[in-house]
Amino acid sequence: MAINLLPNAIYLDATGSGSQVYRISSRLILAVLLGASADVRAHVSESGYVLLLPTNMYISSGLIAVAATMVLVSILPATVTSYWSTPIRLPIPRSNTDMNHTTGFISFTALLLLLYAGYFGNPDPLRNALPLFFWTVFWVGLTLVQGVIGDVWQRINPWAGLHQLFYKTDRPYYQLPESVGVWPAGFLFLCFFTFYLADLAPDNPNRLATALTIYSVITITGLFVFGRQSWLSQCEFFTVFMRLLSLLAPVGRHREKLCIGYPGWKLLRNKTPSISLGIFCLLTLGSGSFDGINETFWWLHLNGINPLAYQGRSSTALNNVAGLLAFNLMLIVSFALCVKAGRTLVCRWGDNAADQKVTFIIQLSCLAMAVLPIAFAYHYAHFLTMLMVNIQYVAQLIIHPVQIARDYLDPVSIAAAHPHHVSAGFLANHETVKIIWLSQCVAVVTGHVLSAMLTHAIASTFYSSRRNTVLIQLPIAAFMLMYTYLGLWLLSSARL
Amino acid sequence: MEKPAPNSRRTFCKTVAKSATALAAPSLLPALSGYGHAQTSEPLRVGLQAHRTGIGASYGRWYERTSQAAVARINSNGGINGRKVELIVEDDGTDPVRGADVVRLLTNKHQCDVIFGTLFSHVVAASAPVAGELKVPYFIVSETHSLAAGEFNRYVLQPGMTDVRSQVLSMAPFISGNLGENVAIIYPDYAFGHNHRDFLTPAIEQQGGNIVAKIGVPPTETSFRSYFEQIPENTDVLYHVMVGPTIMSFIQQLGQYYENDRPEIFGFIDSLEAVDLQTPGLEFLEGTYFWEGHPRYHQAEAAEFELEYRKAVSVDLNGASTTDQHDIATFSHMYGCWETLNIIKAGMQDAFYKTKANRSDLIEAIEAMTYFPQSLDIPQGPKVFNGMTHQTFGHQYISRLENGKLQLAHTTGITDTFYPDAVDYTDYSF
Repeated sequence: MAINLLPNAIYLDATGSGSQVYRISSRLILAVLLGASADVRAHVSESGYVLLLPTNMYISSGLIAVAATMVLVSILPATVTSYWSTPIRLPIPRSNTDMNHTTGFISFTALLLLLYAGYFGNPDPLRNALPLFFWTVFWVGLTLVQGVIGDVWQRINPWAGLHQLFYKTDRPYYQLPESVGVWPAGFLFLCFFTFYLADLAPDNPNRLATALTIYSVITITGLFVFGRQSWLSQCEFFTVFMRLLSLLAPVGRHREKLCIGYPGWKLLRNKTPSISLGIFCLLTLGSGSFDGINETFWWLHLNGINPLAYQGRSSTALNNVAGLLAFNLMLIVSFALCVKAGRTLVCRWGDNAADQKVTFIIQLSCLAMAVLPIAFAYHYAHFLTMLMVNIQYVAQLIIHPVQIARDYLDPVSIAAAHPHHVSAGFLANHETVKIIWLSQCVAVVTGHVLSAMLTHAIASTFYSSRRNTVLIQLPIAAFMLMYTYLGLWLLSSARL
Repeated sequence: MEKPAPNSRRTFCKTVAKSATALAAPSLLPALSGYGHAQTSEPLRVGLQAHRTGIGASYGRWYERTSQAAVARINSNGGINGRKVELIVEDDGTDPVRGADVVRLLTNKHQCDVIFGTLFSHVVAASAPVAGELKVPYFIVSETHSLAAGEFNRYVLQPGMTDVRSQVLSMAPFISGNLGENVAIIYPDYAFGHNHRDFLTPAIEQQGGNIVAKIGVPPTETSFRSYFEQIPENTDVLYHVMVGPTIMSFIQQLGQYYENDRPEIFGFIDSLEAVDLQTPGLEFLEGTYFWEGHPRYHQAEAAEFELEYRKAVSVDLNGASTTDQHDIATFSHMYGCWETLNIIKAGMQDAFYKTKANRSDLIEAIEAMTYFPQSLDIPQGPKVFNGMTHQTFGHQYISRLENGKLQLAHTTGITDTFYPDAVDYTDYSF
């Protein structure tokens, strides 16, 4: 037969994959390069169906909706917009029972059990309780609950629960200076995202258990040394993140009464945030956004990676860490420049230059809080499909814990097990993909609309003049419109 | 039974001849219900290197389902040599670095007797040297040609899945003989596409046909008209192997470009594996041909045990999950897990496998196998196994899309898939 197998070397230039593999031994590099000559192939994900949709039309509609909101809030009388921050009392008596003691203890016990499962349980990340509960139930699910229902995390924080067992009232050994702000939480938040984006296997039960044990030790030590109040509000990034999102929930407490209001009213009633908290808000938006960007063909192409022959997380780890840091930095600088530009506009064309009483730092901190609805919407849009698939595994674990435990303890009984196939057929059907995609788009647009309204409400507190209020918002409005485009483009573009 | 043509497949015949007597027997697979060498009640541990997450997750999900079903069947039939089989699943994230780690984990931590089930060739390429280093039998279900090309070691085998080179080669006679002589290839411009281009070109020319255009499309391209314009007017057949999320846009734009006046079109189901062929936009594919590893839609002429296999792996007559009609199986590939596990069982029985010390006996037992007759153990079709290259060869299927369903149009001979041997792993030491 006249077929000659071409030498592998001729393929290497075409794949360009060799340079991406930097963390492995030379032997492994050789193996990967040889493998590049074979049939790595990409599958059709739901993004394949999305590419068939008239996405440009939806993107334009979304941009128009956000722009129209910006114009509308600018021309509405101040009395109308003031309703934004005024909640209505709910006729529900406040319960005086402090359940945090009990729920905290239960959740700390649950944490210990989950860590045990991580270390000694099933190595399969979709059959082990730790990765399923941490990533799907906690990180994706509870975050959404926080934004819709309110601060549930405060009641179930396992580390705080442990501390409460020892000290019902807070008793710090050392006082954490207020000047420290939430910078430690911001730093730990970035560390968490680095683990999530760049670790080889963040859902591997053993690795996750190790990471969570390290964080638990740090947190428990911090709680006992610096006290619950300081540590949770300045260093424990999950609490800082979850509390911020809970400010978006319609229901909340105001003057010790249970109230309901427009999403974000609590944010407007909140005390003036520190610059570190403002930056933390921008970090949540930047990190969440980059989590979407890093999966796009655009990003992979930018990094010289062929997305159809994607070599896995190990090939993009360093690029993703660099991208995460760079994107967050870019976002913070751009946002600060927008606020600065807004101040310049007020100075130059405002009603009264003397009206500029609030400092740049305070304006930046306050306006940065307004991006939280966008961060929340991105979280929903980004994790929706993952949630829809993985929640089925969680359901299996909850409904059939005995069976799954038996699989692990007595694996050969597997013959009778696993009739409950997890299905992802809705991601391979154009009708359901369209519904899912539209719900993601609506979330992103709604997030920006809310953000635009909050920006206006916050800006109104800086100036007595409406003209000044509008002027300071103009650069941020342009920024938000661009961000709306980015969000909708992310949903529409080809990605892994 | 298929026999290789002696003049062109000299080395392969050497292997077959070694076992000529055995070939005459109705089956080299021992009676799968038989067992009687139990020395211990400890289960045999079979490690599944699973693409649980990452780019291969949609394949991985079905690979695991199929493997679970195969293990359940083996255990319900008494296990292997009187011992039950335990399937240990470790996620490799479809990542070569993690893949190598997973081989170590399955071997050292989980004490697996054998490892199997890897599809993506870049994971295979990184894992195979580790399997050789740890001296653990590593059964791939990958289609990669790297194994038969001699790039791995004695511990790596692919007895349950044909390789891409043999698949492409066997398409050429059908394309030239039935669809037309002038073939234009349009492919993603990287290794996967290059394999198809470089394997198909000489095969078509050998059949007297011509490759009139080779059109590489950059992997991140989403607008394809300028590439369609490069297809010559005298093209009889357009051979396409586009993959990834843009495939449906590609088909849609191809339909808009040609409207009603198109050449014959031939593709690989890899492009649309796990995709519903009745998705709006894919109507243009009506009347076009696809290679299939195993027909997705149940065929009237299918063997009687085909239905039993589908039931075991929870796939309906249309190739979808029995619990979700939109969850399309990776049917052209997943059979490989089922067959590989049954071949491992047969090998362990032949080798009287008891402990890990018998790993080399297991490999020698499988190397001695030459033919797997079609049965419920081997539902995709009979196979000729080349013990020297550790690669299996089998029938390939060509289907035509009719009324939105793939109808079998042609089944290739096994000999159509043969090519000269490039390696003899039996010469390698353990």
